[in-house]
Amino acid sequence: MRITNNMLVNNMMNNIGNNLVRMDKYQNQLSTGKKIAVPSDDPVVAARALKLRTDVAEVDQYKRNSKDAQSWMDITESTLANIGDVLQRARELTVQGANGSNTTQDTQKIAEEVKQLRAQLIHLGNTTYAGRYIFSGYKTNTKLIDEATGEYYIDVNNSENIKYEIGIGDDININVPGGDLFSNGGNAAGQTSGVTTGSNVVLAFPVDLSGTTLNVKVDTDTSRTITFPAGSIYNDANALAAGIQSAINGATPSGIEDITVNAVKTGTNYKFVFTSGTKGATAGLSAVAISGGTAAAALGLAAPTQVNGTAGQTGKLIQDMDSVMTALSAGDNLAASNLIATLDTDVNNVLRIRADVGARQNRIDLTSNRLDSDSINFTKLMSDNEDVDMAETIMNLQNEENVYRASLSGGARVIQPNLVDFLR
Amino acid sequence: MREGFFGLNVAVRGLYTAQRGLDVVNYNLNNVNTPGYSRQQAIQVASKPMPLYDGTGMLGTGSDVTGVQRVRDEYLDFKYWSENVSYGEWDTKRTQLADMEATFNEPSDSGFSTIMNDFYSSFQELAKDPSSEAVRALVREKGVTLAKYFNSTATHFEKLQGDLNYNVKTKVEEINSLGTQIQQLNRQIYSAELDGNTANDLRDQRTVLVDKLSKLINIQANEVVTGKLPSGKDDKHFVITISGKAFIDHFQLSKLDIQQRSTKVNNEDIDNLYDVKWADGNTLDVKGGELRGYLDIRDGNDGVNNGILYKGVPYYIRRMNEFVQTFAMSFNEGFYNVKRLAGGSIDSSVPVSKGEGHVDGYALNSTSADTAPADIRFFTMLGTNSQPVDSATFKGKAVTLSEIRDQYSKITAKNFAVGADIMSDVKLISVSDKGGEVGNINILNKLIENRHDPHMFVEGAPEDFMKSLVTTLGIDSQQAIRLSNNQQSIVKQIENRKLSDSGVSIDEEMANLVKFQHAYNASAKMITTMSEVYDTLINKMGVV
Repeated sequence: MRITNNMLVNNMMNNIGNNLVRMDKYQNQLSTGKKIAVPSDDPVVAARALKLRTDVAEVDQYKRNSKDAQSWMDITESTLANIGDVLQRARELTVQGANGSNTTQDTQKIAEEVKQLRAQLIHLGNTTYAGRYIFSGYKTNTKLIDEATGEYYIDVNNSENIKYEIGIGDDININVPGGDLFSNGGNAAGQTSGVTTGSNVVLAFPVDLSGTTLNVKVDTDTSRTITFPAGSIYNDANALAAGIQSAINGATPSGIEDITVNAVKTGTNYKFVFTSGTKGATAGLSAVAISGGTAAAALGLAAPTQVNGTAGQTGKLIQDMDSVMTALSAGDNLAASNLIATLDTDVNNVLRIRADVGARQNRIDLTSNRLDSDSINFTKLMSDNEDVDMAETIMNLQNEENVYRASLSGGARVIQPNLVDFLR
Repeated sequence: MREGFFGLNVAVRGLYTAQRGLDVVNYNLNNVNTPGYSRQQAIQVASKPMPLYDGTGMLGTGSDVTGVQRVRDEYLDFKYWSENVSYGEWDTKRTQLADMEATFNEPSDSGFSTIMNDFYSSFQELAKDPSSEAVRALVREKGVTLAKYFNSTATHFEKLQGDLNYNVKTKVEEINSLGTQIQQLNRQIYSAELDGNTANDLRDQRTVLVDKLSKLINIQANEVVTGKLPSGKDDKHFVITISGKAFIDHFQLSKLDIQQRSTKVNNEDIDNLYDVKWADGNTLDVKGGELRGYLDIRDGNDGVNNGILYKGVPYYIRRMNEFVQTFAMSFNEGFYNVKRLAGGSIDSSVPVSKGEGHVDGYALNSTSADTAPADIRFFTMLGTNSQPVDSATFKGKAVTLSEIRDQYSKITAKNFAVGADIMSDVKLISVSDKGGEVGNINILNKLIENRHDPHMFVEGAPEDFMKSLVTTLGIDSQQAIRLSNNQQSIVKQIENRKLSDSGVSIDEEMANLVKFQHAYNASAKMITTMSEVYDTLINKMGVV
């Protein structure tokens, strides 16, 4: 084949160009530590890299979840231990009080201590973790038991299980519903508020209530007439509801300051819902009657439907404490003696729940261990898949560098001399 | 008996021949680095011999240069043109696909999979503390990040399509400009060759232009013999055709033109894309070259509606739209198994199946008196002034499931957004399945389960879909790199063969230089010798 000078130059430049491309590749691999920079470098590795990254991120998230579950369970467990101790102490006191040699005065002193235990029990029932009530089921923002009456403050269904995800499709129930604990496996039924619902009206915002009046009455309490002050102009339904609420709660005579007003939007219409709280005039659990006044019709409150509230149940644990207190206060040794067996049942119930919680903690521990090893495994897989073998790459780079040097030196020799140099 | 000054005449011819030889060497050496230059050779022949009348044979009368010829294998040119077209196409695709790959930014710490991981992680954190407004704000921000990822990727793709469109225009102009130059050269070559010469250097120039043209578009170049010239040589016309229609026919140039489309080919396209046509209005089928590369990437929609069977910008925008529509629908409404027609639009004939989604949740500020869910859509779209629309506006007048589903066809990757309700109040993130229960995460769990729903897309779960999209692009890009590299080595190989055949070798020219110099010197010496011979004959002979 005929070789011309420009062929030599072209071929040399091509080869040196190819050398540089390969050196650049290894150089990139070394400086990023990754085999691939874009999917086209190796689509299979890229696809696996994406999957493994997700896997690692998920396992890390599950690890965080199981740690959080662990601390919630730890709080639950220690609270249950305390409740067990309280019940044990109550049982000891009952045994002591059941002794026929005690005088009524003696048993009344014991009853005083039981009273404190009861208060302690209610306090434990309202334990919080990071500001959330742990026995309140889904209503973690509300206490379980009303300290004043010992009644359940809210409904807690036994199916209200808070679940943390600690694996794909693997979730663990971390809470103990209050009813299960305080009512030996039953549901807790709390107080309900009196709810009054207005009827649907069309409102054109802004609504100006300045100077209008509203007659408000809670159950059989004295009716109050509220006059909205000048400048009561509201631009949206929520502001209007808040305005009505503050007007009602500020009414004189006081006593109904715990009413909540919400605006509910249905289609283009609005209706207002009035809910009485615990501070209502008659124990707070009664109907709110709102009617009359110049503003009533405009707000759809002319003839609102009233729903009466109800008092809450008392949990079995609290009931039993009450019974012990009653028996001991009356000095009734026999009744106290009969209650020992009841308290035993209660202790056993708490133990049952503790065993359950313990088993769940155990499961979280196991899962946690598995997640730790998963995390290591997935990270290793991810590294195997996309990280470069440094030794090999450095060797390859060195190799390429040698080739590059050789081709430069060879090229320099071959393109320089020609016949001109030798013709004199 | 011999003629008078015969010897001197022969020697002079030798001088001339050697000089002409030196001229050609000189010219070759001058053009050693001229692109496309073919080395030339002086065609040297022995001149017509003279018969000797005494029957002793013929006597040579010297040498003649009958022409200067370029050394060129035209077969290699044809081969170069047919391979270069494919190199142009794949090299263009390689560059553009690399750009698209960079847009997806995978695998990296800021690509889709990381954003998706963060999005769901924020939901996991919310599951542990659903009443925390701080965590809710985090969820909203992660949702915004997800939406923005699609917005910016889609915007980048649209911009890319605009750039490609501009390139199409530039390439068409380049083709026309090359055509004009070739047409002019045709004129010059034809008139230069009328008297039987060969216009070596003009032909070289023309080949360089055709080489350039062959990288831009599929061409077929030929010299067609149409008759005889007065000089007796063939009357050759140079013809270049594109897809069967003449682009250049001898002195005639038929230009290409671009025309703005009145209607979009793909819904995803930007406005005013150019169609490439013949300037006389005929349609043009671009089958190769850089122009084809640009058109494939700009218009490739994977063959939907008889479109270009290549995965270009419209394909990726369409798939991303498909993703955000289905994902938003599943996340907001709990719709699943949504069937799609070829082309990505939702198949309305298949009834909707509905599970539980964000609309079935009760917001944090709900009360136990609430009997209906908040009906808030987490994801909606950007409306006027690029502000996200709220859930009610998005739902509009849609009542039935299928009407609601149809609303989702309005979402695109470019307008995907977190709804206005949630942007203004994080309490509206609805995760409870009952009013007033702040710790209830039954809806939230459904939302998290969605992530692993293998039936959401044909490709599987949401991440599988995006993974498959990125991998498809990776494979296409890899194919383009390979084909472009292969074609490049073929083209380089042919270039080398052309250089081997037609390139100037300095060594060879130097050897020729010496050769002709010696021949010149020898002829000059011959003249001296002849001069002495005549001196003897004329001045000395007979002088005693």
